[in-house]
Amino acid sequence: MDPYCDCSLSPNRLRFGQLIIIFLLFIKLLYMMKKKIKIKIRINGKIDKINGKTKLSELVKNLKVPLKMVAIELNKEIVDKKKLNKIILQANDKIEIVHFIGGG
Amino acid sequence: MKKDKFIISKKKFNSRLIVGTGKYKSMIECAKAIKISGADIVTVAVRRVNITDKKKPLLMDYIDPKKITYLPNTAGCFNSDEALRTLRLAREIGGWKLVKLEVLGDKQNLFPEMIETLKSTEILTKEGFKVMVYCNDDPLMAKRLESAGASAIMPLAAPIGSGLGILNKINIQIIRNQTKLPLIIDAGLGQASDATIAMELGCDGVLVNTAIAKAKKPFEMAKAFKNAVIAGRQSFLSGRIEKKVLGSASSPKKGII
Repeated sequence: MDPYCDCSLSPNRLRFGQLIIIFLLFIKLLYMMKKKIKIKIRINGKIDKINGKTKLSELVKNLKVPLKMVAIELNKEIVDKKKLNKIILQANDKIEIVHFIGGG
Repeated sequence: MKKDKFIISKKKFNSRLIVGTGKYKSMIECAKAIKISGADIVTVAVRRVNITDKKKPLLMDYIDPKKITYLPNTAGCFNSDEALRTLRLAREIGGWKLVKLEVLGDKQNLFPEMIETLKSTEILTKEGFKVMVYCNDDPLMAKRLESAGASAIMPLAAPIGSGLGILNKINIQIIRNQTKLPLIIDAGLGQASDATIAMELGCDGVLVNTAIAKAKKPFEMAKAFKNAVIAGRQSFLSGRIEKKVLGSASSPKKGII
């Protein structure tokens, strides 16, 4: 006699349920990883690690850069200082923040 | 002297002395020397912000750009691309359009690379910049720069920071006679009298940095340059006497005892 013949938890169904749970966990894990993932960028020639999905405006704020006194370049293109919050930094981005210093 | 105004691309300035802000021992010394010099325009460089040391003093905290005209300079650029990038960034900092273009060609003598300078002048003018151009004391090149749209011609007196004074007065005079653009001696002056000579040659102004910043007494030298520029300009406007080979007595012969 087959012990599973009348049982709703057949091996096939059990495997299917487990797969769904694993799949959902995997997606959640991916989502969490993406949130915490660090990316490498270069600011004024120095490599820095920042959280993924950081906006340029957040970076500038964290660095305490006096916005009125600087110009910002992202990958050799000048960035409009009014649109910093629209730019999400990507891995390997090169950022230059410059200002005026004494010179002849 | 009331009508004698120093105008660069339609903007009037009181002082004909432009000073650099580099090479000073401190920002405080720099700001004080500038104040004593009476300059309305100062040259500044564009460099990376120090993101690790945020306590480093900022130029704008010591020299107010609302009171003194900042003249962004491309010092340290050795080709057109670098110079254009620097000045576009300078404009972005706060709308500066009056700029000084300086494209160097040799790391030792710091002479200007004139082909790249000319190319940059054309591009910057098209982009709406008012370009004051550091150049050789070459009258033909000065003409080319004028045709390219330069706002001021700034020939060197001698290599930057050399303090040799005006080496080629004849060329400066030829350039003076051929252009109505502001003619400003840039680089190479060593002492106050050099500035006077430049002004007496008919130049509209002088730009000085090292001669003041590296003098033993920078504040005294700043004052000396201020007075030298004023004296030179007055002397030029007064119309000097002709040079003669023989002497002519200053006292009348009549009544000699």
